[in-house]
Amino acid sequence: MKKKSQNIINKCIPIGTLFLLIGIWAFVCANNIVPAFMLPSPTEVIEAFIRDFPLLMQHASVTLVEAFWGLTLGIGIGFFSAILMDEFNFAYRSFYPLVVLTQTIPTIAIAPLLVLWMGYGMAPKMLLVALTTFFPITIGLLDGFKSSDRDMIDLMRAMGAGKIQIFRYIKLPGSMTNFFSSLKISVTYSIVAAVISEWLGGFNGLGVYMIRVKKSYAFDEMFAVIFLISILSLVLMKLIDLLKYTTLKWERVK
Amino acid sequence: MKNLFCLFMSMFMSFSIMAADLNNTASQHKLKSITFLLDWTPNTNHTGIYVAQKKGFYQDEGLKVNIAQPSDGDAAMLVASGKAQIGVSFQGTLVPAFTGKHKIPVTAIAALIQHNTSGLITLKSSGITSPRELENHKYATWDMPIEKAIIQKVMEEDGGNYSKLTLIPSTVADAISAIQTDVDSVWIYYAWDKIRADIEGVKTNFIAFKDYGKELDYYNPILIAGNAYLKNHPEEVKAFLRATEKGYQFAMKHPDEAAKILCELVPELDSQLVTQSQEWLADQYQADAAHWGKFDPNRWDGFYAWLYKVNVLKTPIPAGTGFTNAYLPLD
Repeated sequence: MKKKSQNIINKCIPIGTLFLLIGIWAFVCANNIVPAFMLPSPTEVIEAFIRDFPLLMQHASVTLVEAFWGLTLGIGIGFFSAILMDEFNFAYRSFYPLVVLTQTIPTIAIAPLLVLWMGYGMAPKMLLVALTTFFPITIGLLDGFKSSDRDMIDLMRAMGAGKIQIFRYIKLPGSMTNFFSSLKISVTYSIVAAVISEWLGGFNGLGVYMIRVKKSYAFDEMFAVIFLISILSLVLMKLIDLLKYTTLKWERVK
Repeated sequence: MKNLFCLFMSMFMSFSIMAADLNNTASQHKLKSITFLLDWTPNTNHTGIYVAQKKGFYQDEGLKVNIAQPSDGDAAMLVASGKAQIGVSFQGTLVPAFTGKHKIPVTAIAALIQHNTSGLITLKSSGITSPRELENHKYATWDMPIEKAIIQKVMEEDGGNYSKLTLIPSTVADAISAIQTDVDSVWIYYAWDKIRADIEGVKTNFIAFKDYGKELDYYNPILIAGNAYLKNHPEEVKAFLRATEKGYQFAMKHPDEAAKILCELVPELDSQLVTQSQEWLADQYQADAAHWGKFDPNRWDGFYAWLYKVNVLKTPIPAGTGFTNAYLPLD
């Protein structure tokens, strides 16, 4: 009983803080501490969200598709490079610094270049998402591979296992926890990267919607789309948790 | 003894430095500080302001003008919120400011260029010399309703069919290289990109929007100021415009010198482009108007009325909204 009430209190604190912040926001707007044209009130944001809901969902589906395919590509690149770098030390020493270098280039700088080279369809957007999301996956998997139990690997070798079998039975399952943590990070990056690439040109997507409402000075709609993007990222993170729970059955025993 | 001497020397030096600095700030306090926001990177639309700064016209009026660039090309919000006092904007960009649920409190106070000098640029080799020929070609668009309405009007005025135009999202940073790729037409300002194309030897056609309807001869670029600032400091605004007009009059009479001043204050600009652009623009700042910067209410209102007629605006903007000639030196 004590644990249950403790849990309830733990959940109430963040929710309470959130309501307090919204309350302060509503108060600031109601008393014109910030002029109405600069900051919409919470009710205006909710109204804008409800009013534009079909349009928001339509744009959101485009963004989600770009994020999904980009993330899939990112996971693929991540797996491929992690396995390569784990297997061949030469690959590790030559590619790892380059991989780190790609992450230091600001996304906003690469995005227009990608559009210049690949046009204005979905391709450059998916590539941008892949570029931002592959790095956490690569690092997570690589760490996971490297930290596999040496004794188990030696045991399997003694029993005559080949590299692929070692990978399948020890390295891969051992790195799955790392993989899912990295995946949670990558999934939030994927939405943001998709939105940023849409800012630069496109006819559909939450980034395009955001630019349009910004130019119309419709800040209530702007806040609505920002909150939608946050909610989408949270939902996706929860989905990853669910996926992890269903696939990594051995973790449940804890 | 030696240590005491060093201590006194350092105290003396720091006091004298502070006193010298105090002198500077004291004289600067007599000048009122104005933050002026550009719309884009500095170009020949802004020459008069740079001339006024260099030649001390602002200082003569008791003003110290800080020229800044907004990060996203939209001065209106910053001017409205008071972070900047005066800025550059466009009659088209201001439409949502006057029609949104919450009006953005800015007013246009002067026209930097009397007539609309923007239009479409196309390669000569594309053969597109008039809007009708844009059919089955591509136009790089910013996806703004006003922009698209204007393209539609010029095409239809010329007997063309707007639905046959392919719109592609504009990622154009450089109009001249863009039209040499698969984009056929780009929206530009004659004074900058067309002159640049001529200098670089790229053969191009230019289609001026104002040739296709007097409603399209609207005002861009313009100077705007926040309504609160206008109400509280009208004399400062008038002083600013007096000095700015002197700057533009100088640019009109001495374009080459004005070009030199712009290049001196903004060294990143190409001096050949600035000089030739300035020479073309010198006749355009005031053009046929009786006074520099004065708005013709018929043209201003006519543009907004046309936007309502073609359903870009759901509610009409009342005549006389958003501009004033009251702060201009009209005598």
